[in-house]
Amino acid sequence: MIKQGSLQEKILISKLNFKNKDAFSAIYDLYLDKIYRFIYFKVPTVAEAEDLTSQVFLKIWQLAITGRIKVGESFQSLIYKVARNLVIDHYRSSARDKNTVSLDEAINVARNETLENKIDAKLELEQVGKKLRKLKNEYREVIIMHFVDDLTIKEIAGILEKKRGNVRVTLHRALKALKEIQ
Amino acid sequence: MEKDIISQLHSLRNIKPDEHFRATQKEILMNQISASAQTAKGAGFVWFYLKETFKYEMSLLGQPVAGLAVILLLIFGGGVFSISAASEATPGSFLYTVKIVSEKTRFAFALQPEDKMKLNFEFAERRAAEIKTLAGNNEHEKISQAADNLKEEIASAQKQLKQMEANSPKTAMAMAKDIENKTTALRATLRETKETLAHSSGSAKNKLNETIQTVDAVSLSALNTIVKSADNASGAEKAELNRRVASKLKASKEKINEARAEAKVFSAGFARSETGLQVFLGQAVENKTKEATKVITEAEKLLSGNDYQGALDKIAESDNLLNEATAATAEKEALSTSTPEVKAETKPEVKGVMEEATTTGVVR
Repeated sequence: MIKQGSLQEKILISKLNFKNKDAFSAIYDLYLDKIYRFIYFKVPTVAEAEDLTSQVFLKIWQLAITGRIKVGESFQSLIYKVARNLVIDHYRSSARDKNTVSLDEAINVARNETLENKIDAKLELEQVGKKLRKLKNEYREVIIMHFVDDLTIKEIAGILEKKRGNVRVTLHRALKALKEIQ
Repeated sequence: MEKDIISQLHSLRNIKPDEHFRATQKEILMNQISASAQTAKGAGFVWFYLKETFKYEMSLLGQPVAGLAVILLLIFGGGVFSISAASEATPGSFLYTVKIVSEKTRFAFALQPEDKMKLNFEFAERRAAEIKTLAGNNEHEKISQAADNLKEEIASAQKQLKQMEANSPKTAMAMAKDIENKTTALRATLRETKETLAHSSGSAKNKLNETIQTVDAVSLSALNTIVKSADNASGAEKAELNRRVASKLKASKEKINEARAEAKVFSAGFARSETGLQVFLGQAVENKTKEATKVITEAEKLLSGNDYQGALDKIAESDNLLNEATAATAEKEALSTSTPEVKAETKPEVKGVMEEATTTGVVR
């Protein structure tokens, strides 16, 4: 399993820059879950999440073949930025409410688990999902990136193009706001 | 309370794309990019990928020493630059590090599990060759390093197979057959080397035993993968499967004989003061090998009824018993050679009753 940020991943990016299909396939496998989840909490339906996720990878390919991916820079930050920008563009073009999360769709995604796990997952997702729904987008975004996708403060700062201090403060406020929601 | 919320947030990691979407979207994307994609470059372009990979790091380094270190890494780390002398190197030599770094770089470039698996076996075969060289040169203390690396390579190959089983059962079947063939050949090489160490004691032989056990376990695991697909197998495929399992059975019988022979050779080396140890060892190994023989007989019956999985389970059971026998021999060997005065004695001649009577004039 290739670790994100590792030498193996860097070699993979190099190959991607040389328009290597296998490298693209490996990048897809490596980042699909995270990017899907990141977009998922920003759009109302699974269909939109899936569509936008595909667009992210196509965009990455376009960047690669035009030589706009630098091996030394964080690929993870880049792919998240691409995802974030695509969602923003999507909302600009469809003029939908940005603060909606579809909880029912969130629960449906857990359908591969056993029935018992499904019920437990549903209850847990319901509780935290309802709370996240009530948070403003800025807070929800940093919470998802840090606590769900395990991105560091530095990485989040790179994606959001903010200072680390700002991200740290936002995260602290976001968690506090989440705790205060009943 | 914060811990609870964080724990709930972690549960959101269960949200993943649908498996159908995962697979179909990948296919669609691969088709969409194929027009602008290029075929994978061969090993000759490894240098270019490495250069690209390290271009950024090198630009950050303003110091000539660091730059030289990176250049050395590029020179010695790439498959294109493998030095022929390094390929012959054994543990303990400077060039051995170069050899290993080169192997790791080649492994890093391999993307598909099948390619990784092939490299794992290529490197495992190199380790086996190194062990043979070290045994021949009486450098027994260095065998351990090569043996441990060999076990790691085999474990990694098995990991690639497990990964493929989840993604593509058909490819996994082909890989499993390849693994089974290669582990059989590897076992033969290691066994040959073990025979040259037959009369030596200590960690080298035990390490070799452990390594052979690991190879056997992976071989059996690969055969299990093949057997799992047996339901849909054609007549010819079933015949091949039968041949493989029968061959495994034969190997198990040979192992039983080996275990007995090893215990005898070792027992013959006991000093008179260790008669108790000799008897105990003899009994322990005899019990295990008897049990293993019984289990193998059951395996043969199952195979004749085309119960391949049942036969393999019995072979695994037999192997476990023999591993215990080998471990018992190794344990007692450690006890025996730990006493300096025992080591100093010459090996006593094992006499039969009549011979002893002729010498001492006493018939027991």
